[in-house]
Amino acid sequence: MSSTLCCSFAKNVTLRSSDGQTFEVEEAAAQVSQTIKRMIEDGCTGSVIPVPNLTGPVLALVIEYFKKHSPPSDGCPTALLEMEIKDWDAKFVAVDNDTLLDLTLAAHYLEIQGLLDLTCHRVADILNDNSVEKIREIFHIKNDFTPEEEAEERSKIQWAFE
Amino acid sequence: MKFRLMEKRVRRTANCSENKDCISELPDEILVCILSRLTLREAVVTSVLSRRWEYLWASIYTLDFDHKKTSGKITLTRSIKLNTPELTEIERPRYVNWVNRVLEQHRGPTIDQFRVWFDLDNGYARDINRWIMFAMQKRVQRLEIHLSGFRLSDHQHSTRYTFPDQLLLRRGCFKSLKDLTLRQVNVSWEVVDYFLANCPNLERLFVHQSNHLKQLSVVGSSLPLKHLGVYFCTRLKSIKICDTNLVSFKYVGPRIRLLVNNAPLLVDVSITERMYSNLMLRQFSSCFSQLQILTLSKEHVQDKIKLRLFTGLMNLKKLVLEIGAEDDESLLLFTPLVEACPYLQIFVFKIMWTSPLNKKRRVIKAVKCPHYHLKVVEIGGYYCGSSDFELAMYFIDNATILEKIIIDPRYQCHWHSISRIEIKEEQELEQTRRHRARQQLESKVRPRVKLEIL
Repeated sequence: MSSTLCCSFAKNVTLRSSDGQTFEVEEAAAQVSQTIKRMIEDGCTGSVIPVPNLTGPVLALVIEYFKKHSPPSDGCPTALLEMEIKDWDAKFVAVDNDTLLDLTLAAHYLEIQGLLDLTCHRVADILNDNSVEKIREIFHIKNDFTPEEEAEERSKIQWAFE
Repeated sequence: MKFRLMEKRVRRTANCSENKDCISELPDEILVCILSRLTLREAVVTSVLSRRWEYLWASIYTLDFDHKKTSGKITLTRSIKLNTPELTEIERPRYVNWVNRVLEQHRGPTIDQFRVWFDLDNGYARDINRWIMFAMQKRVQRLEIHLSGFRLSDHQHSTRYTFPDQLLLRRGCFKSLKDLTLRQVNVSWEVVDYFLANCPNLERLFVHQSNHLKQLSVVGSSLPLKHLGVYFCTRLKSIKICDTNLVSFKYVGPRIRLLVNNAPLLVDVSITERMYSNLMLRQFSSCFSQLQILTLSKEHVQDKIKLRLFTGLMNLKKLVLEIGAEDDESLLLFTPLVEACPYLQIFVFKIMWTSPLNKKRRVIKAVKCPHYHLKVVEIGGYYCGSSDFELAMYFIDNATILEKIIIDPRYQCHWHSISRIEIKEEQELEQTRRHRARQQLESKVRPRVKLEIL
């Protein structure tokens, strides 16, 4: 009973994705995004906030992140809570590479520093663990060097291996 | 206003789909952000991926020249001894060349972190000066110059690199600096003073093994410094901490004159060696009431801590004791320290045995002295002798709300102080102790207390 009472007081905002899907989320949670925070401060809360760079599925994921990272109602995050969030974060970015890159871009557009750190770190891990050939394959990077150019590129960085 | 989001350059309308090179389409700033999280070597390697990636790495803002991460071959191993031709003629020039090559090619306007870690002496002063200058020009935020090797024998005093004070004559340098660590770099108090007075963002300062540092003062409420660490500065005579915003202070080294006055935010203090004599404790007593974390280390149990002086640690939540011990002598003499902290929640006792003897002596029954807030007790270097068993029993009997007791039977001293054979023997012994500790304690702990044997 008390929890429904509490929720009815929380202010909500509506976000609309590029493909027209709408999502309702607590204002405090959405303000994890600096971009949305500014829009709310500028008085955009009365209507729907468009998020034209994100499709519905990606926006839905971002909203999940918002909810997990919205400031706790009692103000003070405990060490236990922080640990739990860290675990949750690790699982959150354990997704396929396409989704990971979508989330990275979303974090950039919406200025969500925590999510950007998280996704960049995850991509960096993938790059660190693989050879050039494997990285090209994983991310479908087209090698536009001619064989001669590539050989030259490799010789240019030979010092890094000495 | 509502459409501010639209103003951002939209690179892609559709979300990432299969077989599309989405990563190369990310804006430069994201890719640089990703590359800054790679080791330097891996970052450089990405230049081979495609034209899009050719120069991206050169804008990374983390330059961590840790010899263990930078290159496949440059590593200081135990086999490379100090001043052998292998180190001086091959490895040092190779490392210096590596750093210089990266700095020549770097294009980014700023860097967050610049870290050097290799065994270098004053013979490379010109290069090191240039690196520091580079970091300064790129408005570095975290700077670490770490010039020590892995051996206990450090550079001779005469060959140690000295931080150049002429660098600091330039106006406005190091304005962005937040975090400065100098290890095995000779730095004078004038230079430290300069940093404190002229870096409006400097929150962390750590000085290790500077032979030029004779005094250090952190004075003034306008200083942003929050964390200070001073380690093994053999000629240091005094440290003065007055009217500051310092939150943590760590000192390891010889006895010095220490003045702490009006440091209202200081909650985390760690002092090692011969420092906590009567005198030392009196110097700290002004801030005892506010301390939350206190770490004390002592090599010899014989020089007993003046236990009576510990009173009024009303806010202390965590106490760490690192004590050298021998001959299975009783460790219960340290329990009054715990009794002096009525609200203590975590107690960590690391025993560094020099010559543990497992002679059969009677276990002393602990006195009754209830602790009402203690939740976690950790005993490191657990030897299963009478001394550590009675200490464990003291807490099992007295800590009324104990949640967890952690027993760590591993050797607590640094591995480099003992030989390889000894390490192997020690590891075998550990296994026996693990088993024995479980036998000793499992039936003694109350059901809701978790016994964790590491």
